[in-house]
Amino acid sequence: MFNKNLSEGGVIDKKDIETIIGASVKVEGNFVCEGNMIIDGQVKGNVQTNGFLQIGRSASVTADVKAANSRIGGEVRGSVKIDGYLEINETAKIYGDIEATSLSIARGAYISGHCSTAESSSTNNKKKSEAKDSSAN
Amino acid sequence: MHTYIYDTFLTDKKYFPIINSIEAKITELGLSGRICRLSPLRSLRDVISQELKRLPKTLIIVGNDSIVSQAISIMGGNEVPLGIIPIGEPNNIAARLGINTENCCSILSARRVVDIDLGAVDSKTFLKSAEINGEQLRLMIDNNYYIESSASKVEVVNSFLNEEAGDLPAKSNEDKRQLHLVITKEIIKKSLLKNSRELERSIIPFADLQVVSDNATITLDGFVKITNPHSISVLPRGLKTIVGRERGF
Repeated sequence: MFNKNLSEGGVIDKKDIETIIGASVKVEGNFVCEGNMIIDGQVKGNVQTNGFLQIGRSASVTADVKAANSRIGGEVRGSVKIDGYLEINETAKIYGDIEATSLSIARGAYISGHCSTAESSSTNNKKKSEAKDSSAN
Repeated sequence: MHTYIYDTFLTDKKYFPIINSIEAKITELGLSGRICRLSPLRSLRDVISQELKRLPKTLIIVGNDSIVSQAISIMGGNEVPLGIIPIGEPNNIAARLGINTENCCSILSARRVVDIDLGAVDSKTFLKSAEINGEQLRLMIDNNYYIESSASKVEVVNSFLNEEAGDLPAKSNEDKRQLHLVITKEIIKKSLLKNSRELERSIIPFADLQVVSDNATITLDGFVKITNPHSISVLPRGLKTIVGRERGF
């Protein structure tokens, strides 16, 4: 769904992006997508993707956000839950709790909320299955 | 038996040489059939409905994009394959299917039939794109969320076929039956020396779109207009059509 490059904060290939919300577009509701997504407009409701999510500096997102990996440069009002890597740029304003496996925050970014890093669900599952295997042996 | 439907403009004398040449090739290849000529008194819808009742082997449209797109809007979901003999301009749909005036007869003879996904607006179908017009458009996507836009151009693109779909995502899964909502807004960036124009493009894949706004209109493939449309969805394998080797998909 998303390549290694994205999970390490690299550049997105245009062809890898499934959904783009431009600055002039407003979205309201349960905004659930499967692939990589760029939001530069306004979103109210929920945002969820099992791919990469980029929230651009002109974006205004009033929603709980869930994604596999993400880069945030705009305003988010709501919780941010990222399964992998989250990059918060210097223009970002986040009013809500943040949860990610790994995190980078640029100087100048504004965050109002709890910030925690946790092991990804895939790593947890792997560990659980390893534990099961060892107990079976 | 094949049925040929000729567009009205083909009664112009300037098209006689090309029509004569194509008819000669068709006879030579043993593809002769019933010829229906449209006139102001015979609408395409009536002619196609009547002819489909006769269960022709192929229904062949002779003309340009205008008549081809109208025929597609009527024929979607039908089992009779559509053939095209492109005469006149523009002929982008035929070109996309790998058909031109020179190779059309041999393509009909080779009879390479493929199923193509269509877009469906209420009861009508389109092949390439449907442009949605209206002020302050409000659209509901996949019964999940609303999109609002004041952009200058809002269209639904069947990316499977559209040669202008260069910015659309690569289709990773052919079984994923989707259309793309493409919203384009022209942004003028002012600077001291020179103003520049940029296009802001939003792309949203979907399977079902509801038009919530009143007084919206949709134009299918640039020719067929629908007022107060309700929904746009994919019609998987909605059209059987004869294509050439050099088709663009």
